[in-house]
Amino acid sequence: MRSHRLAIWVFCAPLAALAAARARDGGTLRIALPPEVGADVAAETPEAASVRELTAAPLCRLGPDGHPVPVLASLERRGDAVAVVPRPGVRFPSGTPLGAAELARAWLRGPATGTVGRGLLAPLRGGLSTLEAARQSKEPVLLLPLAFPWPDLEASLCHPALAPQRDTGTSLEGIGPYAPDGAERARAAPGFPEGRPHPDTLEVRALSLRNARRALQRHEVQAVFGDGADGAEPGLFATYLVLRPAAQALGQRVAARLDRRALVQSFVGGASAPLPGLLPAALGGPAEAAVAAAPAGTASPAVLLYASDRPAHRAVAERLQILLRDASAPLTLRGLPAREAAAAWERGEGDAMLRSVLLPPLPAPALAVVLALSGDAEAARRELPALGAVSDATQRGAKAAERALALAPTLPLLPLYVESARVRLDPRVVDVRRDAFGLWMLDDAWWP
Amino acid sequence: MSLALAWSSGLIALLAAAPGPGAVETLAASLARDIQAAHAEAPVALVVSSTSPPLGSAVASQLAARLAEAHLAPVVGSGTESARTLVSLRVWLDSELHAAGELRSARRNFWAGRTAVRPSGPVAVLTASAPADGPTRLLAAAGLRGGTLSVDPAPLARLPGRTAALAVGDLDGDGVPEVVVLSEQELWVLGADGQPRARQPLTALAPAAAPAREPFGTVCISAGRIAVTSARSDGGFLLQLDQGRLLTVGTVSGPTLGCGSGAVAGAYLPGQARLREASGRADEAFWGAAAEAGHRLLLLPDGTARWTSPDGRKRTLADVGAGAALVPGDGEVWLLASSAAADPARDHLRLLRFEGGPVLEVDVPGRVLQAVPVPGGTGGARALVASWTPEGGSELRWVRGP
Repeated sequence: MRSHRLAIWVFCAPLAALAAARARDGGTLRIALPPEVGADVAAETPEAASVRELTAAPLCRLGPDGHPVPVLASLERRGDAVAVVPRPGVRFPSGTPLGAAELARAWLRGPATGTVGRGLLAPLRGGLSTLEAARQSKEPVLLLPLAFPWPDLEASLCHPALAPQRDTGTSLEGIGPYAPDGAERARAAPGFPEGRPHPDTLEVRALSLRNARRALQRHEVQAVFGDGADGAEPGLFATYLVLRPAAQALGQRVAARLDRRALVQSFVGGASAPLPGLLPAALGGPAEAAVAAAPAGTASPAVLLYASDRPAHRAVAERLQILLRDASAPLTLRGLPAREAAAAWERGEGDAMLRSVLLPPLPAPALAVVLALSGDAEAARRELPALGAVSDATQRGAKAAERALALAPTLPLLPLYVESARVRLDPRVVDVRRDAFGLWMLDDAWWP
Repeated sequence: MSLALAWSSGLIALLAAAPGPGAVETLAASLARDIQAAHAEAPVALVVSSTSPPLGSAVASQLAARLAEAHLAPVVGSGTESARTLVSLRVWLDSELHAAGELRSARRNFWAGRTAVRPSGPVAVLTASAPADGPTRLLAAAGLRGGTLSVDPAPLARLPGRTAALAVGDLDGDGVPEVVVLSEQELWVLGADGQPRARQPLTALAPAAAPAREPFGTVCISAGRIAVTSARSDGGFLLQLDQGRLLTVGTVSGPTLGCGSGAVAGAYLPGQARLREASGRADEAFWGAAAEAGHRLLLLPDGTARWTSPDGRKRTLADVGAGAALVPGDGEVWLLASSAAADPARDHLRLLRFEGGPVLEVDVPGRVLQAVPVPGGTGGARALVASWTPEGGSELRWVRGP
């Protein structure tokens, strides 16, 4: 594994010429969300996930040394299981304490059945039945037995997709530094284990990109998510062309004609980079794509699903359509809102789909997520136990990267590009960082 | 440099022109009498050290003149190879001018050849004091201005998270101090070389009802034990280092403002990186406090500091950040202060005297949040500072001064 894989724990915003020795408390942290970010209600994009973490924090964070630092829960090895031990006093805003049952219900409601969650929790013994059994538990500790050794489970559990959220009947509530207080407002949570944030209030404003930029210039908002092009760090938000097994020839045709660098520069934009392998270069992936030959024979018509509420997906889908038209391979585009597109794909509709996932910053769990995305359960069963058996983290990472390289031609997906979370910040704002997953952390934000 | 020398020469001239014997002459005359009484053999080598080089130089010159009158052939600062007597003195100024040191025979054992063996001859202890006068204070001030304050460019240690509190003290009785750092969630003990020797998570402490967002706490070392509290927890631990492990040997009820004999019971303000006096005004909050040799320091969130001397005099200083410490010097106490307006990537340390003395300054990478004195000035270091880096980590650096 490369030593810089966790280097996304980076310096960013503090450009203030004059600050203060300690943080100033008070004020309102105002965040502008352009429609593209606001549409991501499932918080799959790193921008939306960064905002959601302010009211629904993850179980833990990965420190610069790669070890989990407890936020809502500490993680303990107990034999061949990992125990999720909620920190004392951790409660949802409604007062319900975080326990085994609440965590199991939260994961079963979405993450555990979603692509990223399936990959992260793939090493669990008994799969979802473990979580089903814990639904009625009165215990505070959730025990996660492993089907095979998997040293990276603790780090995987820090993924923002596994941040616990509780269904109140009318909405979902998480446990974060802010507690929702209306549709677009939240107030500082004094009992949050990492301390109440410095501003008293959080406001989220849905603005057009143009109005958001203007508001930032006037210091009416402190951050605009989904804007800015801080591409200095490699991103972990990876986009793939996922294919039905019968449509693998479609992927080969695209691979033979695709110039990923041109795709990124002309159609994706922002903080993005080509993804020539299953894993990004930051996780040991290749710097260049292997040379691919187009399959012989006539191409049959195919349908490509994409998320119409993600401008990059739309642009890339249209570009792929043109590429294939030049190869006399007719491709029909079908744009749907991200959630509906995913549901249609699960129902078996379409021959290919553009899918984006936030990879964990460790090669072995990242490969587990990619295998879940490919839908090749047999490959996951075969590959993951062998990876987990390597106890040394560096060797395990290297082996995961090596296996990703070997598996790339056989899996029904084509890696396209990676993106970083985009944010434009008021230069006066201090103590804003990115975490190991590349999400912007505004938990500590303040301004003199 | 030449300007400083010229100023020092001017001060020496001023000293010489002062009516009646000044403090330096009185001190030198007293020392010369003691040296003669100790039957020193000529030539006598004089080695005088002082926080103020001009003050040390003036005392050495005056003492050399007195010893020359007594035909003891003094040599100042060098010539120790040929000397028969070696006089080592340290000179400092507080309310009086003081000198202390020793006299010993420098006669070498012929049979030892080039091996530098310490002779076994008699040793005399030398001490002298004289009431300070104006010219002497000016000399001392010139020296401090001419001294340097430096921060080691290479950190003693880098920590992945941010520091909440810092202390330096001997935990294992070997005479070498250890460094104790409270980070966001655990306590670290580092050797003087910066290598980790023990770690203790604070998870056993009950969480505070309203924890502070910024890492904030107190660490005090007394009799080899560490008292630690955190603004994210209720109460605190009393820990002891035992064969590389930290053992809990008791509990502490809460934080104190400062450590040692001048410490005052304190309490954390809910949800804030602030302290208040447990029996004081509830609305008066502090970033921190220090106590040293009867001096007390309170750091206020408006970027000012209240410094009270042992005789009750008070001084308010502006632009003092959260990283500030009372540092014992040679017979006096200085204030090492970070800036209240530090930017996230760079801070500024100043060394201040209680009575409007001169200032030494140095820049430090990062934002200094903790500063503590180093007992005995280990390895020439006066203090240790912890600075927060913009990346979210911390760095510890030794501060060296006059």
